[in-house]
Amino acid sequence: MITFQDVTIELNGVRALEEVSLCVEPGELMGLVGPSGAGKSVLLKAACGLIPVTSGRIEIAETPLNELSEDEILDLRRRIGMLFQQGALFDALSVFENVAFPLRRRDWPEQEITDRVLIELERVGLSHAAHLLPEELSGGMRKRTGIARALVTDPPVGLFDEPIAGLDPVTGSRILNLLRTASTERKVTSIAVGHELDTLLPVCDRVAMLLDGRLVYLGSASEMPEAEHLAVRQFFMGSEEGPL
Amino acid sequence: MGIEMRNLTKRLGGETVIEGVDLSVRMGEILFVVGESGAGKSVLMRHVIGLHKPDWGSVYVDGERVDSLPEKKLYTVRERCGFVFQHPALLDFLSLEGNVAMPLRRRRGMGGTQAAEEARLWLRRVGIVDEGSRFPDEVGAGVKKRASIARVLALQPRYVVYDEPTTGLDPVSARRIDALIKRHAEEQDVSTIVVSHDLRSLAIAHRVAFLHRGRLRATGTLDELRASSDPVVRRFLLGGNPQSTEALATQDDDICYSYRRE
Amino acid sequence: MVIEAQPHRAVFFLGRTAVGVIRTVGSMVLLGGRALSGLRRPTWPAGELFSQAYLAGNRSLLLVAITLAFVGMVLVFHACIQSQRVLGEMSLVGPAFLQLIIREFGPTIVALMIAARVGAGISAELASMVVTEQVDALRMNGADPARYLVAPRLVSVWIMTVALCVFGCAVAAVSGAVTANLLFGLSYDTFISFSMTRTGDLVTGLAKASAYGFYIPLAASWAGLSASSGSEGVGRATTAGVVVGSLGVIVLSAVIGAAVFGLGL
Ligand SMILES: Nc1ncnc2c1ncn2[C@@H]1O[C@H](COP(=O)(O)OP(=O)(O)OP(=O)(O)O)[C@@H](O)[C@H]1O
Ligand SMILES: Nc1ncnc2c1ncn2[C@@H]1O[C@H](COP(=O)(O)OP(=O)(O)OP(=O)(O)O)[C@@H](O)[C@H]1O
Ligand SMILES: [Mg+2]
Ligand SMILES: [Mg+2]
Repeated sequence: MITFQDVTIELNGVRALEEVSLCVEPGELMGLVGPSGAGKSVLLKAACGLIPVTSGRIEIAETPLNELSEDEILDLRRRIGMLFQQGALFDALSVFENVAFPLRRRDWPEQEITDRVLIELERVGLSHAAHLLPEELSGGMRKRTGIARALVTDPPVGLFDEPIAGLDPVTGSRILNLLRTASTERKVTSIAVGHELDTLLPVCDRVAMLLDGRLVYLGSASEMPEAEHLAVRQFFMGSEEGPL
Repeated sequence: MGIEMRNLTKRLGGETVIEGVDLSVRMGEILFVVGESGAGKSVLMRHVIGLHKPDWGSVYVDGERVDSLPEKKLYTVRERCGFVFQHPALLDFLSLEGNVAMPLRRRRGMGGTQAAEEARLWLRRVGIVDEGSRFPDEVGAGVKKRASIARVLALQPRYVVYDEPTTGLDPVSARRIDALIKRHAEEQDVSTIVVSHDLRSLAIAHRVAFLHRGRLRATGTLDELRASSDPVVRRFLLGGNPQSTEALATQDDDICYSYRRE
Repeated sequence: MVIEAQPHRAVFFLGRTAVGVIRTVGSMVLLGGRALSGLRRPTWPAGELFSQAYLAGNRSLLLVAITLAFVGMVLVFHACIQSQRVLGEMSLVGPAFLQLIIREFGPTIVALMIAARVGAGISAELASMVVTEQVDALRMNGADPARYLVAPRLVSVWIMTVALCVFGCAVAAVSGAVTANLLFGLSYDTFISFSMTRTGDLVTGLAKASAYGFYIPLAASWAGLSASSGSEGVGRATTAGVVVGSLGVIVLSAVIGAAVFGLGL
């Protein structure tokens, strides 16, 4: 569903990704972890064509991204729900309008928009905050608004950049449950970036780990402690001693 | 001495965000403030340095009442009380060392070389002295975070408030920040308040305060809280445990989060 | 050796600058094209045109009034003194002044004000949307920033610029007339005379006003949307917007002036 083939990306002369190959199956939830600056956010943005690849090939639903025109990419992106690391909420719009935005772009009728948005807000526990502006939200509420906006269109592909960063454990596991059921029940193909290994890894089908732009681990979470790469093991344990 | 909040109440946007909170931190103590997203933790912390004024109740720092101080006098409070913001903005055009040295020159009136020396000392304490000459956009988030902590600590505040110091950091960097907070609090006898969502960080807490919907629901040591019979507290502390994730979804009665098909 | 190296460096520098200018102009033209194509089927929120126009007008009305009043005052003061000395009378000051204001100074000075005030606002706003990833979020929702953000700004700033140019000329004319009347005793009837203003001047003035009105928001949006990430990006983009905007106004003024001269208007 999402395929990376030897993808290398350079940004202003800096190698952000180096020959990354991975494939996310339909309905799979893949966890993406790695130290800061490893290239996780770059990978997600490349997957929806916001960052062009230097070499290699990315396919989404059998469509190679680099062969599409700007307008075709705009169209393809409507089928992707994306949560940005910093939320990227439109700060002139209320929580409700932020979540309604993708639906308005699709010319939904007003009544259906209201119903749909309220359902989505309830799922992330923000029904009471629909009227607030982004600046009036706590960090975690911003995050949840971004998640609601990414999921409101029922996209077949979901890309989530740190969905539970800044969320307390209870709200965090609710959100992860939301992502998990979305991919199991509605076959949403997703990638979730995160640092909270304790809560994130158990809900993911597979885990990929990036280190300095390279893929150093791809496999099940349970086998991570036995990985060959010393850095992967240190990362998993969170210990201070090691190559990282 | 210490920081003390008495019966603090704050309304924002027509809703009561903080309601009757009594909370204090003693000298040299590490207090963790935890709670659900939107519970009011950040708003509560902003009261300490006068970024919010309470509608009711009072805040004392070193026995001095600070909530009614005019903006000008608040500077002396802010000097004594360091605040590490969740997204601390380092100045892009200064090296990490320059970032730490700048407030030393401006607030401590140090000369250039003395400030640079002092800055290097603090960068060494937070463990990133080798990166001192690099610029913020050349280093990772963990290093940036530590530089911003060094910037606050270099002014040698008697109190430090950290708002989500480990959010968005990988587990290795997060543990390093924890160790740094603990070491600084113990070595310099500094009172510390940490707002955190990271249950692994609680290991360094002397005392934990649990905030729920703007009210203080429980306080005590981590073990006391773990032994609490309050279901809200128990559920929160179990939340980080993967085995309980399934159980949580079914326990959850007030809001339905699970994805249903329409 | 050093002396030999100098010309090379100069050539390099000129070459690089030329490439930079061509690239800038090229990407601006592309952006403008995409924005204009968005006018066929508007997708921006209702009321956006009005609120952008209000913002632009509100930001610059007072500034334009004060500046043009002073420009009118100073120009007329010196023109009267010179005319008195050279010609011994002042009946031609009014007509000549009005021609100059309509053809040259009115639109250009107003445009410079707008480039600084409104242009900076647009650059800063769009740049902060870029660094907070809001522009990417728009793209993810199938909204092209050129059509969604730039197009409405283009239209409303264009209308406002033309209107403000007319308004600015009027203010300058009135302040010039009052100066001439109070300080030099010239009657309003002799001063306000369009005997020297021909259709060509009017066309030139309007052509300039429309060109500026199109160019300023385009340059500002281009600068804002090409902001680099980081907190410094916003500041840099804002400066770039003002510089590119004002420089462009001066260049356009010369180009249009030359074109009109060539056409013999
Ligand atoms: N616009 C850009 N220009 C130049 N370099 C960039 C740009 N964006 C990212 N990079 C670089 O690419 C690398 C990967 O960055 P990325 O944001 O993907 O890290 P990350 O894994 O998401 O880290 P974090 O956990 O801190 O979010 C970094 O070295 C960064 O400096
Ligand atoms: N300026 C404001 N206007 C109105 N309401 C506000 C404002 N600032 C904060 N709030 C409300 O106060 C409540 C608490 O916010 P706060 O930022 O303290 O939460 P928090 O406990 O820090 O949560 P998180 O863990 O998500 O950061 C939220 O419901 C928020 O909507
Ligand atoms: Mg990232
Ligand atoms: Mg907070």
